[in-house]
Amino acid sequence: MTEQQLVDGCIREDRKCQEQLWNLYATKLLTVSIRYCQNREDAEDVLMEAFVKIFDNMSAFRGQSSLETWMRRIVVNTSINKIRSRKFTESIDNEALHIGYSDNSFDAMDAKLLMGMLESLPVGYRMVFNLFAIEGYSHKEIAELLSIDEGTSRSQLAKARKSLQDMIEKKGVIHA
Amino acid sequence: MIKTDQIFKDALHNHETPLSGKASFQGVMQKRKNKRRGFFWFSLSSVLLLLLSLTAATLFRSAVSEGNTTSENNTQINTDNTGNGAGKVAKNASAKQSGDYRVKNNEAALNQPAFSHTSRAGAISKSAFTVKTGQAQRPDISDKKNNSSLGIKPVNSATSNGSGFELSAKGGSDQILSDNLYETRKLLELSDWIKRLSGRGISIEKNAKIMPTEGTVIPEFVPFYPPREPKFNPIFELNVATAGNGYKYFRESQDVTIAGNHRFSQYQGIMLFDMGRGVNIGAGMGYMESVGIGKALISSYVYDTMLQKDVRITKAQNISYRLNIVSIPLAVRYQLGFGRSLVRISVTAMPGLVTLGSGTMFSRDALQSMDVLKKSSFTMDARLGAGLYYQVAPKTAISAEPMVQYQSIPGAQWNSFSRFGFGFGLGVVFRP
Repeated sequence: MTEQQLVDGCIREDRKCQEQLWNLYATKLLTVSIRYCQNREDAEDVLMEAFVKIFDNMSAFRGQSSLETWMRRIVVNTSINKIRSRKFTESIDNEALHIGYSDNSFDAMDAKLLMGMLESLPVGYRMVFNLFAIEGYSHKEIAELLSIDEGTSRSQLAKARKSLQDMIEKKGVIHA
Repeated sequence: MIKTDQIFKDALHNHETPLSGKASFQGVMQKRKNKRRGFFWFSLSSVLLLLLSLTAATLFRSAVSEGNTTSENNTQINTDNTGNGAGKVAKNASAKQSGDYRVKNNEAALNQPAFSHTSRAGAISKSAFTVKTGQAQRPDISDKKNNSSLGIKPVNSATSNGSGFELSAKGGSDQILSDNLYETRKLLELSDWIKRLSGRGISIEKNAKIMPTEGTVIPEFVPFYPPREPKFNPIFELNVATAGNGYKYFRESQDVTIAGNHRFSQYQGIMLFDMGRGVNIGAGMGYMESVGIGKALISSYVYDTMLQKDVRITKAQNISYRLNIVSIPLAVRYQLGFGRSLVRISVTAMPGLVTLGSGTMFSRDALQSMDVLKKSSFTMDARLGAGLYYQVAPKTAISAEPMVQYQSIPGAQWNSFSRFGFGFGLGVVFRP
């Protein structure tokens, strides 16, 4: 089934198409929500909430970008809303940094380790870094999305990078 | 791109995380179902709220019209002989034609509501009364100007009995009086009902549109969130409120008993700016229509030549006034909570000017013409409200808010007027 057929089926509220869309993208989009949310439970809530929006607004998808890009945007926005709706305690879980540290090479770092490092960042740093470095948002878009100044976005990104580099240096895994 | 960024992007952008049992397609479908059900109830309650508001506004309007029409030509002389009302002239049935009256001066009854008694027919038009000089606060019925307002007029030759005055109560006029009092009671009951309603105002904190860099414009809800720094995106708020100030004053005097009520409806347009941390401030324009409707019982004393003593005559008079005020509302809003539905606390100061004042005021010192209130009188009202708002569209939200409003009109002696009005309001907020 092509992407367009999936979209058309979801617009028609075809349950099979909706389920197939879920099966295709749920695991990938869960990674996106995990990067923003404090815990996996919240991330899964966000994922389901995002899919509700996706199904409800499928007719708004015009095909100007890929379906996955469009869905990622929705997951990102839903994640940010989730973060806003909760009072986050920005505690750094240092235990996460020890998960999977068995190699001194960046290349060998698996996604789980990197995820742990991201999770250890304060929520503000993490959101800006995720949006800029991984999702490819501009500082202007981040500023609009998070209701902050562009300068704030830039400074938070710099601090996030510095924190990540410090973590890596602290663990002795830095390389040139 | 910095290498750190690239490493994270390469590792995490397409990474897949296995689902646990909690996140499932069935769960998504269930959420959709619940969402639709919630939307149904919200729509239903919105429609009911709208209908309730329209009904309240209509009743308010009709009450205003009724007050204006009944305030004309309404003075009557109370000849109730039940003894239930304040200062009634009790008529001895056996002396109906002889003009032999007994004064039933029931002082304890002065505290009774003016409209709580029933009236019986009685004819006293041929009574022989002469005026005895009243006390300092008593209306002097020998004063033509004053008498005109009291409903006591000089008699013509056909009914003159030598006293020079005729009491306008005749057979059946008591029934008219009773009807007027009943209307007043209905109005007061109505205003009590309206008074239980209250409110105004709403706000949306964040622009609800997301513009993907290379993607589609997706209408996306972005709820209120206190930003770290002020963001000067204007928010436009329109609201309407109606409230009533209870006013039931029964003077323990033999001269004046007043019962009435004050209501107002208010319309405001305000532009707000987000100051961060959930605080919005702004200013705008407001217009308020205030209406007071009441009933006054005014007693006077005449000398009954047959009884050889003073007889107390009480007349009822419908009173009403209208007051229009243009104001500049200065608003502070504070949002509590997050998401699509918020609780909001609003404080509004409303300095304004009186643009119209007409009718008769209720004051502790009996009645006063609204002429004492100059058109340019300065007013300062303030309102405190707390209510809910719900974001119905990316750029639109509606609110429902109970409120309490303080009204002050310097220069007017509304000593008995309750300055705190409790009401209810609805609002619409736009964020362009």
